[in-house]
Amino acid sequence: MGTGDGTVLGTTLIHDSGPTASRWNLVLLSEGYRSSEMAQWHTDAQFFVSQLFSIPPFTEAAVQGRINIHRVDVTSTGSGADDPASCGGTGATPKTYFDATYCTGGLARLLTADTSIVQGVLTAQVPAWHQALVVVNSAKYGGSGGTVAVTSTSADWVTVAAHELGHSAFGLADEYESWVSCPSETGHDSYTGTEPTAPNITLDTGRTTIKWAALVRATTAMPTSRNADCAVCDPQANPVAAGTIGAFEGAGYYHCGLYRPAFNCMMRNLTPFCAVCQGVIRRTLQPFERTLRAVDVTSTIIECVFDPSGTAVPEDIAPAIRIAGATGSGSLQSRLYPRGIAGSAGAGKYPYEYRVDMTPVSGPLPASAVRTLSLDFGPVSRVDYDGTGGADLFVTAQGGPGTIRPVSVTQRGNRLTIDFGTPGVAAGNSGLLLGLTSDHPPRDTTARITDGAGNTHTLATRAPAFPTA
Amino acid sequence: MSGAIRLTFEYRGRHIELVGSEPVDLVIPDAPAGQQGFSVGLPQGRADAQPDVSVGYRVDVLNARGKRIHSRPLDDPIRAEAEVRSTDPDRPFTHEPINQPKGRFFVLVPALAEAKEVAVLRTTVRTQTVGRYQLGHGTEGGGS
Ligand SMILES: [Zn+2]
Repeated sequence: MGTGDGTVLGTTLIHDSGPTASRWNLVLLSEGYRSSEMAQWHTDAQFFVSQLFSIPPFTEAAVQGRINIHRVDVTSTGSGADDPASCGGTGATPKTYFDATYCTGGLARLLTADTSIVQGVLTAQVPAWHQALVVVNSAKYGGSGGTVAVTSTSADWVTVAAHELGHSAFGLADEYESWVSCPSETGHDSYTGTEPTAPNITLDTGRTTIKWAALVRATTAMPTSRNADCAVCDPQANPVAAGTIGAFEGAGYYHCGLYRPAFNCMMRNLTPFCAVCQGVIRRTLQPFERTLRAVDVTSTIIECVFDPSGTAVPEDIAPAIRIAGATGSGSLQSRLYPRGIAGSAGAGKYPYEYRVDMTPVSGPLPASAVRTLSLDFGPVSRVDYDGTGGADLFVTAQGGPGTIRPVSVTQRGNRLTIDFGTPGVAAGNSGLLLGLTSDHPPRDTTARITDGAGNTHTLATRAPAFPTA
Repeated sequence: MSGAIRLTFEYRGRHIELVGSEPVDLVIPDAPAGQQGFSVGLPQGRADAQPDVSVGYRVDVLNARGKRIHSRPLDDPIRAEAEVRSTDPDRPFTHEPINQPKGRFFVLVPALAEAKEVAVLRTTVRTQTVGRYQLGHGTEGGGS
């Protein structure tokens, strides 16, 4: 049983957003797929990715750009998983690599794998794993949670897996109010403990003190719903509009005393994640660097996307860049245009452009060059600049000033870093105009550049006034 | 850079053992707001202020003097009952008790030079230390 019953073929990065060492790494491993079933496994893994990426916030470029998904191909001699007759199963005992079995601990639907074998494969194949999901080739309901989670491929398996990821990867609690079942059960009437650790259930119904206060509208009643009879699960329908964030009584396995942020949520009943849980997922993934997708455009981009009338007037600032040992000074150009006009592709959004200009400078290399530019830009709004489906960054490659393009543009948290490589934007040269779009209007702030000698310079710039909550 | 340590724990019933601690080159996710994983170097006071008030499990990293230098909340790592699908579409989950619960769980903590021990703690009404384990001697750790 176990590793003698199959082969690890290798690993494929099926969602590649950049270097694995700086990404959140989700690893899918096949269990109970024979070598003749590998094509099915590849289909199932792809299905998982497409389904997961249809559930907000995993639909967002900023979230997808922080995640790598690895597919580890493992064949088994047998197909499926052990299905003990003691739980009413078929009694099948296929020889499989991770020894997956239903009926763990006597529970028909508790499907587990040998975690130490899984860990061995993870260490060898994707040592930087954050979350693993063992996918068992079986249509029978079953699964188990944890950072090494297990699922079969029964109906809605990806949704259930998303719920389990909510627990193990994002620290979310269950938002349903029963432990075994509704309407009533002993010991689950009223919660009497202290504040739960989880970010999506609470004792606190204070409008300004509740964990998710920033998402509660002034017009929403707090608490938003109360359970009139703590002896049973609350039978009432949603008293407010779908998606409203407030404090709904009944959560964390208690009929009363604990509140959840929304009437429905993935963590309650497999409906989409509520706004609070979405925020938690985004925040958890903040430390992972994201590579921005860039497209080349021409200098008519602003007219094309933001202002078809062609009358928008740019507003520039260009503080000087002075490098020790060089003559002349360069500049960091920050260019604003008015908000995109109604009916345009960029309607309601704000374009920002940046350019490092070292044309007037002469001096020795490597010092007399700009290597990187970084600033707090906040959420980048993805716009379809060139008809190819949306990008984060536009590079004015034709019709504008400059010749030097960045080698990478990455974002970690709110911090945007534009890397011009080596030598960088060297004395006598200019970078191309780089543009990004935000939902937020501009504010005065500072950017940091590093020169070829490794010194940093702080310069005035304009960047979005994004909320920092 | 090898920025993190992956701790591997094994449990049987409520008994927990540290069975491995390996350096790993990855970025550690943020813990959700209000239950931040934190370490020295972040604003003063937080390391001592936050986690004791919240119900649940956590892992603390301790220095040679037994002082907490990092803390991280854990999704309930020891499952005596399992969350499984129910047949009710409105309440799609239920719980069932597991016979002889056992398993493994993993925790990522930052690789801190002064880290000497890790502790698993559980807060219900009061906080109890479930176990303290020497780092660097993974297989020798034992619950207390
Ligand atoms: Zn759950």
